[in-house]
Amino acid sequence: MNYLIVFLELLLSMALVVGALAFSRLLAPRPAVQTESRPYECGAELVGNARVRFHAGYYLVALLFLVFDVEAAFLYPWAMAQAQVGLVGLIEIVVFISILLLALVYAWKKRVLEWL
Amino acid sequence: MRPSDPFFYLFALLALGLARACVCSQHLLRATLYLAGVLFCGAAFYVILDAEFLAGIQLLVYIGGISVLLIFAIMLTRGPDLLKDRPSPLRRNLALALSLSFMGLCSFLVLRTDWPAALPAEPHENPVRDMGVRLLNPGEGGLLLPFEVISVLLLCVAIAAIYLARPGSGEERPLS
Repeated sequence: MNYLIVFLELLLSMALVVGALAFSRLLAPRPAVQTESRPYECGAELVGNARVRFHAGYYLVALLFLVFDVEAAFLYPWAMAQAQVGLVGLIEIVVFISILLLALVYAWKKRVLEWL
Repeated sequence: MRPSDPFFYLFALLALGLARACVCSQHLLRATLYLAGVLFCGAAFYVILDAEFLAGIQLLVYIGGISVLLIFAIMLTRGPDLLKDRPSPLRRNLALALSLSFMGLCSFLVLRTDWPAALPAEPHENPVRDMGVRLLNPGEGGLLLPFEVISVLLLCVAIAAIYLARPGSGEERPLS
């Protein structure tokens, strides 16, 4: 496969971002008032840092995401081989997914998925 | 010289720079982003080696999964910035000597090892499809059982992670 086009797109997108930032740095007037340089200039006073702490419960959501991320990686070869393996492959992949669904059921039962 | 060689050196240089930035960054969150860049360079190496599936896995699992997990872990902790650490010259030189000697050891081993060249196999038209067929083949030479064991392993990982990381079994006990 020819990845030169992908590489060119990578360069182009980087140039776009860098160019946009550089141009706004060059052309934009320096703000006279301190408030103008703040994000979300909407009249409201900014409170606190953007790096707020999340609830620790969301770490479990991230862990679950990782597990199903790996599952998705394993589904891809099956999707490519679907024409060859046919119904047998479908049954096998359903077994694969249903074993992993137990993890989701367990997480649900343990109230991991609840909004905190 | 292969046409992909300049790209290899470009991404190798990029990976080295990003790795240095990752180690030396005082901000934990920025270090994670640099690490994601290093992992992206790894994906580029896989593409150069014609291993597109591995490159996809690298992007999906390592950049999309592990980096996100690291960022979550940083956002959960109290102090996202490392302590301002000014190492003494002795520590600095000791660290330099240690890392240089480790690099020397690794290079020595890589150069010494007689890497068996891959057999000139017939080119696969679609390697991922062939892999899928082999993974799902229940007969001779198939890998169906290991494939299903993978899902059991992932199930164990998920349950163990939930069991270990949950504060209490039933009641709501916020950690923060």
